[in-house]
Amino acid sequence: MNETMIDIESLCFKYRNEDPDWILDHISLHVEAGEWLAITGHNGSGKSTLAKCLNGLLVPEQGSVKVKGFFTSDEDSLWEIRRSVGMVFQNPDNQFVGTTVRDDVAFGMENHGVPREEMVQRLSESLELVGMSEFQGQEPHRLSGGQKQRVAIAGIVALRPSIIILDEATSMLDPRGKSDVLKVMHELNKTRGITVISITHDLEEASSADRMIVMDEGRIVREGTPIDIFKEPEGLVEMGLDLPFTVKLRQLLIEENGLNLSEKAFTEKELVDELWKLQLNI
Amino acid sequence: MMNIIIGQYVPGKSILHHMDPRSKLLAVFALIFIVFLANNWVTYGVIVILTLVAIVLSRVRLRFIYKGLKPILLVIIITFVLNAFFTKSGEAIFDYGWFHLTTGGLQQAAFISVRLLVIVIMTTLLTLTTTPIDITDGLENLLRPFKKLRFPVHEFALMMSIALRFIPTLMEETEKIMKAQTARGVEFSSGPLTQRIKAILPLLVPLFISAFKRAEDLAMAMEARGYRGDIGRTKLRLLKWGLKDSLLLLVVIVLIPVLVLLRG
Amino acid sequence: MEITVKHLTHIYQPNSPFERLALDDINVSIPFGKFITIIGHTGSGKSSFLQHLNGLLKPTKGEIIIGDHKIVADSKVKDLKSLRQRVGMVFQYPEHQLFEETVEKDIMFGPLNFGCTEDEARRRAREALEWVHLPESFLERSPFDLSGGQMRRVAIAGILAIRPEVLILDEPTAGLDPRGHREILDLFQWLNKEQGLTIIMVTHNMNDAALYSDEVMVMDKGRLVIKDRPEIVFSQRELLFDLGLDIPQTMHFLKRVSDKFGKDIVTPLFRLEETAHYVAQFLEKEKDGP
Ligand SMILES: Nc1ncnc2c1ncn2[C@@H]1O[C@H](COP(=O)(O)OP(=O)(O)OP(=O)(O)O)[C@@H](O)[C@H]1O
Ligand SMILES: Nc1ncnc2c1ncn2[C@@H]1O[C@H](COP(=O)(O)OP(=O)(O)OP(=O)(O)O)[C@@H](O)[C@H]1O
Ligand SMILES: [Mg+2]
Ligand SMILES: [Mg+2]
Repeated sequence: MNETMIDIESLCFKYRNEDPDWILDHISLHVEAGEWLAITGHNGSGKSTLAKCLNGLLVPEQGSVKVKGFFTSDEDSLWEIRRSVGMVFQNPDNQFVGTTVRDDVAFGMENHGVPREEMVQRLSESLELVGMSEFQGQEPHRLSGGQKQRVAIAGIVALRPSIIILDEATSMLDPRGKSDVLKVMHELNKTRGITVISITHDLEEASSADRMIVMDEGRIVREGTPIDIFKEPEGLVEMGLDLPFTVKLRQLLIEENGLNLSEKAFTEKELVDELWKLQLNI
Repeated sequence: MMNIIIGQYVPGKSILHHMDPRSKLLAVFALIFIVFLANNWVTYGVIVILTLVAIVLSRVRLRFIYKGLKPILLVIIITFVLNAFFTKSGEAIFDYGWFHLTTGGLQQAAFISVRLLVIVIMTTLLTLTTTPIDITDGLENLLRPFKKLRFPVHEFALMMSIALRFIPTLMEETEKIMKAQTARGVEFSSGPLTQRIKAILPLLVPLFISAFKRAEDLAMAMEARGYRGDIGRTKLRLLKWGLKDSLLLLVVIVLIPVLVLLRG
Repeated sequence: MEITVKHLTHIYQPNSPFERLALDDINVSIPFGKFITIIGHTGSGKSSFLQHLNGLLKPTKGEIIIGDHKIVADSKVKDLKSLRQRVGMVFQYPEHQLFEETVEKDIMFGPLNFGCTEDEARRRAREALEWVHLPESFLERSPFDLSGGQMRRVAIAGILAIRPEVLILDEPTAGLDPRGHREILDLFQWLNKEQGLTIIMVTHNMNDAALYSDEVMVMDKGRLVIKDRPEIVFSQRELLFDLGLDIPQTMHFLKRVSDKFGKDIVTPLFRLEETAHYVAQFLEKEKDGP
């Protein structure tokens, strides 16, 4: 379980040499197998840039990024890295390569030279997994955003990856589309032990992660479990963030209404349980 | 805006729909030349009958075929008129100053128009019964020998299939930007010409920017999914050459000596 | 300027194999100065409805009456232009419609099209920029050098400079970080309360719909299911779930509390302060009670 998946050491990156500041400024980060890591931070803080460094779409200027033991700066391992690290981008339209659902799911497998018979089998298996089996022959412009994102996930799952990165993959979706996509991802995380790195502005979504990091102007400024991070709310709002609903509510219950709640209650359920206990105790 | 159906594919289950795109491509390509063998009523008759059989086999409604013909109907009519009045052979039917109409002229005009019609109908049938992606696949496969000559067959085919995939998306985008600028007071469909020309910039600039952004995103997404050109690639789509495909080609080949024999 | 929609039906590509009924007999009236939000799952017709309100789409059947304008199936473009000046529309990802070299020129584009003088347009550009909380120094910058959130504001300023009386917004906060999100919504609220604009906004965020609007319209399969105050709309949990929608977080929490304590809390509350206060009082009562 504690196998290291990603190991970043002092990564620095900028798009143009003439830029005065690093876009990613001395980032160090370890990600373990099976973990669900959330990354959050204000617009332009460098989240997407970091994500693209994780599968070698961008390579470090300084420092190193190691995925399952391979360096992304090593051209020869890029191949293996891209097979193990799948990525779902924000805009469902701009990542749908195939003319139909089937073609799109197959695209990655074709690139990696999966033999056709196995391809067909994995194809139906992964479409089943994301609940899109009935849509095999559909063209992308007849699918909703959430359906397209699930197809994208199927295309990745078919490659048997170890890590899936979601770069705001649900931000263009309606509530149902969003929860469908997240459900599929949690399933993959639980049953197949796939490591998930989810970039999101949605703090409720981030709170359900095993661990989260907060980025600000190209640096990692906070790192820890969501509970720990939101324990010290100072500064988060200035960084363009907010606090999750339960944290804000708990604060109000304590400060404005004089209730005696502990800091441990983090999910809605825990908060309600504490309220229940509070009532019993007296 | 979305009324233009690219390639005009009409889903169906006819025998033509189920044929291998390669045999259809080859047949249509060959027929374009074979039609020129016809030069009298009998040979043209054979070709017309063949065309009618193809139409029946495709089970495509005549309305769609007519739609495919409409854009070039005018060309056919003009061809007919020009040939009818400028060919002088056979008996004169009508003679008035500049205009002479002869039986030979009429016949010639009819032949040439039929030739054009047949070519257009055959290609229309091809696109009506074959999805654009199948045509692309078929072409890639047929062009494979040219790879040795360093012709980028795979890239060419991929480019075509991506273009096909993104045409609806770009049309939607165009419509969206037009609407957004209309909301800012631009008039695309009315007003004097100068004003309409001015309206092009607010449409084209955002359209180009978004197309570039899409291209960039798509390239990223493809690379992230391991695309690196043709190297070590397998394919999901299989082309299946069947008995009916061989039969079709046989018919086309047999057609050549038959036409040569029947030629006047 | 009241908006009245009667029997509005819209069919895309009628009489073709791709025919699609997008709006189905919608009847609604929206009084002047209200803040309305529209919710509904993807493809329910929200965007199609919005585009009828300033004549970008014309009804297949029915009519839309806005002030002294009346849009029917064969309305003339001439009349529509003056309507579009009064009903401003901000599309989803409006930053995609920027095209001028400078922010100032881009914001002036709308007013100039609607017949403002250069001077007037320039004055309005400054004012609109202030409304969206961007510094004046931005006027000379290229809109393409800005961050996503900043571009979004410039695009919105471009519509505000037209000085519409009704502002229509299609998912205006998608992709913004929490601060950008809140700032933009606060701006709309300010425009509504202080400048008297009627606001009609499509959103996927139930909390926003509950917190900001006077009334919520719920759409499903091209039909208007309900239009009512948020308290009433969001009390209908089951219905909303059936339609692929959700209830605000405060309501989720109250539901949990009532399940745990075996009591039926029916009061709909959306503001955090109210919810906290209510829960504290509820607890107090529970202690005294049994
Ligand atoms: N292709 C590029 N070329 C040049 N600069 C870029 C490029 N992509 C991003 N940047 C810049 O790098 C910085 C970080 O951008 P990035 O997209 O990583 O932010 P982000 O955290 O993902 O933001 P968002 O929440 O808006 O998606 C920004 O200042 C951005 O302007
Ligand atoms: N230009 C168009 N041509 C044909 N059909 C369209 C067009 N625009 C929308 N539709 C169809 O009309 C229906 C309503 O679409 P609309 O865009 O109004 O939904 P929406 O509620 O805004 O959805 P979303 O939340 O995804 O934005 C959908 O079924 C859609 O496929
Ligand atoms: Mg990003
Ligand atoms: Mg919409």
